[in-house]
Amino acid sequence: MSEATKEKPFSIFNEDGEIEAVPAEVDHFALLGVRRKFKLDAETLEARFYELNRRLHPDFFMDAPAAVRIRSLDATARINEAYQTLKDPIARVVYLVQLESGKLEENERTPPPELFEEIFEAQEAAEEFQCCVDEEEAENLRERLNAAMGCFSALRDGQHTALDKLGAAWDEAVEKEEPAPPEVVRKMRSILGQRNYIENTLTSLKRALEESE
Amino acid sequence: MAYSDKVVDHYNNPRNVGSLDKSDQTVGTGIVGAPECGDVMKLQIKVDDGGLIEDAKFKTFGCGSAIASSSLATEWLKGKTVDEAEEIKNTQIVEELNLPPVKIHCSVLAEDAIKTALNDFREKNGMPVVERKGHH
Repeated sequence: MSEATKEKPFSIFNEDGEIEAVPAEVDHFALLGVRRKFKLDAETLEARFYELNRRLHPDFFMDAPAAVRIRSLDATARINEAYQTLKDPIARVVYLVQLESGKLEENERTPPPELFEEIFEAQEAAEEFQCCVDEEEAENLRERLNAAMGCFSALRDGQHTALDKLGAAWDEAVEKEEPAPPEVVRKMRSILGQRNYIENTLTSLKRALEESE
Repeated sequence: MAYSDKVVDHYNNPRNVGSLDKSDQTVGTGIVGAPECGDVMKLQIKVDDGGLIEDAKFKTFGCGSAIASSSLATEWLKGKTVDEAEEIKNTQIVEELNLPPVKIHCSVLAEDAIKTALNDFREKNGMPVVERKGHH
């Protein structure tokens, strides 16, 4: 088993119940005391977060020495960030994949040509539509934008389905205390590497169509 | 975060927006993207008989810094030879546009687009392509 998948119990509090400084390398999962997996029980996560939040809240440390106050502030900020990231399924996938296999920026910057062709077409149509004055032309463009919306929404749905499946395969390996299969990691990185392109295109299409209403 | 005046200028008045015929033998096309923010950039060069870049066009869908970086890149490309163009570095773009650290990847994207376009031109014309080395 690799070092990265080993889960050591971590506690923000020492034996006397005092807040300890949280080392930078403690990840969001360890911080909230949940297993490093894709599937997370939302209720457990929420309960952990509120429990810690209640104990750490800076309001309780107003009269404490400065060092303790600062630790309470830092720890609160850390658990907030951890909770915000882990409760959102997509943010959690992105976080976990990067935690286990490095930053996504290190992905190849040359994306699949077919996808890019479609992105440029859709983005250009959205741009044209927004400054189009001819009614008939605008109607044609609107149809193209709607078609592109359908196409990119389907791409996004497909990504989510694929991520669910891959995440389940990854979790299965975690359950068996095995490292994630490289093929699964590779596919997830590739999907996540394309995710923002698809999201941005959908945002542009949506904005163009909404502004015309 | 405030954009520098130069970024704003390129953003409001982008130079050389458009497309060239990518099937033209004298045109090199570079299409690249930044997976971390989803910005996409297309940069094209047209090389004349004397080996000079006579025209450059770009189309970028992304943030102001990405648009400014590619706009500036097309300005710098014009009048250079293909080999001279190879020397354009993202750090020069950062300096010229005063890009803050969080926007450095926009300049990297522009450099990637230039190099991809140059190699596309070389490949089309039977010239050896230039291996990409690590950057930033």
